[in-house]
Amino acid sequence: MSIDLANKTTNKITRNLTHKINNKYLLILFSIIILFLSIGLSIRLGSMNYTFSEMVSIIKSSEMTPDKNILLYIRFPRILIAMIVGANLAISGALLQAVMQNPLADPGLTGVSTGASLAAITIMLIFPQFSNLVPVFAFIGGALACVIVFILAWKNGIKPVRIILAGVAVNAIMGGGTSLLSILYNDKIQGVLLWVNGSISGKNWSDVKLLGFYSAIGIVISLFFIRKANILQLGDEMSTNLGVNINKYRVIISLIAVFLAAVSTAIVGIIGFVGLIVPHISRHLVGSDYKYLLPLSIILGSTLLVLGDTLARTIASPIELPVGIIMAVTGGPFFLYLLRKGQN
Amino acid sequence: MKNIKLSVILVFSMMLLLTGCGNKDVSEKPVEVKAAKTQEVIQEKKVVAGTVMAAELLDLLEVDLVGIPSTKKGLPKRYEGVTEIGMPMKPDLEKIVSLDPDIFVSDATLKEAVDGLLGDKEMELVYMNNNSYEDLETTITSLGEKFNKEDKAKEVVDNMKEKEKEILKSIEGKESPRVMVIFGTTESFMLATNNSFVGSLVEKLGATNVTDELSKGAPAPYVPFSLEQAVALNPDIILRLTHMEVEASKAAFDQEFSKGLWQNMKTVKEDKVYDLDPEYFGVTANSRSSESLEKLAEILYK
Repeated sequence: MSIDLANKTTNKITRNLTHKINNKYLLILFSIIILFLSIGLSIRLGSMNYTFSEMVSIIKSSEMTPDKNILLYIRFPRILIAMIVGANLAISGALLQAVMQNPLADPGLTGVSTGASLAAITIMLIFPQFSNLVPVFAFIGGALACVIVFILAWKNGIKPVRIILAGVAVNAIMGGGTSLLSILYNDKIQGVLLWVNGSISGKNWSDVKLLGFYSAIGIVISLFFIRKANILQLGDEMSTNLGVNINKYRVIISLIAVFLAAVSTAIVGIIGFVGLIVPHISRHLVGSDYKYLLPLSIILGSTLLVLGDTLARTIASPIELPVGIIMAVTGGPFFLYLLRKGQN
Repeated sequence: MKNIKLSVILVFSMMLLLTGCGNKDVSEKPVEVKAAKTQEVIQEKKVVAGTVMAAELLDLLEVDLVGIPSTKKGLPKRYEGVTEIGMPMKPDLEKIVSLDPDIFVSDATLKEAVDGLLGDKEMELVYMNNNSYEDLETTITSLGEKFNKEDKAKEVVDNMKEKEKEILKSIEGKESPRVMVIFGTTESFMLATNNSFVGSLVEKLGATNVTDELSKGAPAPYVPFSLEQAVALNPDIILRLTHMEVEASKAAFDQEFSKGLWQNMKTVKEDKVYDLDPEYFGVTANSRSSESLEKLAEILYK
């Protein structure tokens, strides 16, 4: 009798489980469709609007018309960069949240982006001969900021409030450094202002190549650490019980997160809240298993930034707003909501 | 407790002091003083030029100055050895007051800053509007009236008109190009409309400014644009205008134009991109505007 019952329950559980798993795959498939729709929308809209049939004939034509120039050399690279940066920031946020066991961790809030941008600006203004290595230096700057935040926020584990406070402090310090540089070197400040409010405007194919190269490395590595991220978010005790060297993986996964955020910041500047919003929504949809959370975050991150950038370049056309502002305006309230909810 | 009392007393005494000052300011600003000064003979007035342009125009009118702006550009010979008052954007208040000028001449674009600095001082503030080529003639005429140099002003303006006629005659019948004037600083790029100085020259020379095809009735001299717009406008000629920090701005231009989207433009392929000489082309008009017009005619109607 009891065995029968037990059998029934297991059956039910497995059925529920497969159902849920199917749901998750379906969700990811669905999000991919949404991503493609967003890309379609983004290609069509801008200072010039094109229908799809127009686009096809424009691209087919062998001559370099202004329209073809706009599509191939302004819009396509821009959308690609938005996709890559969105994915990078979302992964970075998701990984930082696992490391800090804290849903409020985000490369922007924790000062990683500001640190990376300060390092990038320093190189561009003071050591322009190394400008090819900007992503590398941005990584070092971001890592430094991350270490400082860890040290400041660490006291028998990391409490959400301490992360936010440490982030505020680090952001203030690094932001101050950026302001200082921009005043001292105001004669060659080209684009530094855009840096502070990350913008994808005017990016070209060489930026796509640079960003794509570094991001591909980071994203692939991040996928290898899905299981470790899952273990990390269980907490210290559990991880140690499972026989995992928790500190080693904490450092490695933090470095991956910082690397992805820093590379993005080096190319487009500071874009906040993507790393906060996207993993949070993904967690709601597919749960905390990074096997689903990470891929979904990648797709949703790309979607969010593609849509955000489309809005940024159409809302006040012909003025192109930095997409960082759009993300701050929409992401800020979301962050406050999370903060409120956390307190309750 | 003691501290609170002390601070309350402090705050009150400060408020008293402040209101006291305010009252004094009002009573010390008698209208008669100004009225008395305007009756003085105009040539004896002490004049300070706040901008290079002001100094250059006043030189054309042969007006003497007691203060000149600090600038890396050379000023007219007439003003050699005259006291410098600092940068046009942020003149040295103490220097100006110590010169005790009657008239301070600056540019309308700096009005807010200068008003804030000198608005409560006893001197007349004259602002020149030099946005366009036409504005310049008006400005010279009104400065001539202000400083009793009407004849000199008329001579200058007539000269300009004469030169203008010659230039327009030389380009008569030639095909007029579509022109895009990009104003670049180290921070951003904007398009110059017909309400800007270079734009007004383009219009005067009968060429079409591409900004006419954007939203009509935009009164701003410089308007923002998107790269997509720039490509879509597809002009015959691109003029690159820089202001301060000419070298850095030029570097910014070169970096921007190295991008594929510019390289693919017909204008760039046909090598029809010109850097405007900052000596003759600025954000606002200058005293060599006739020559500016001549130089632009050479570029547009080569």
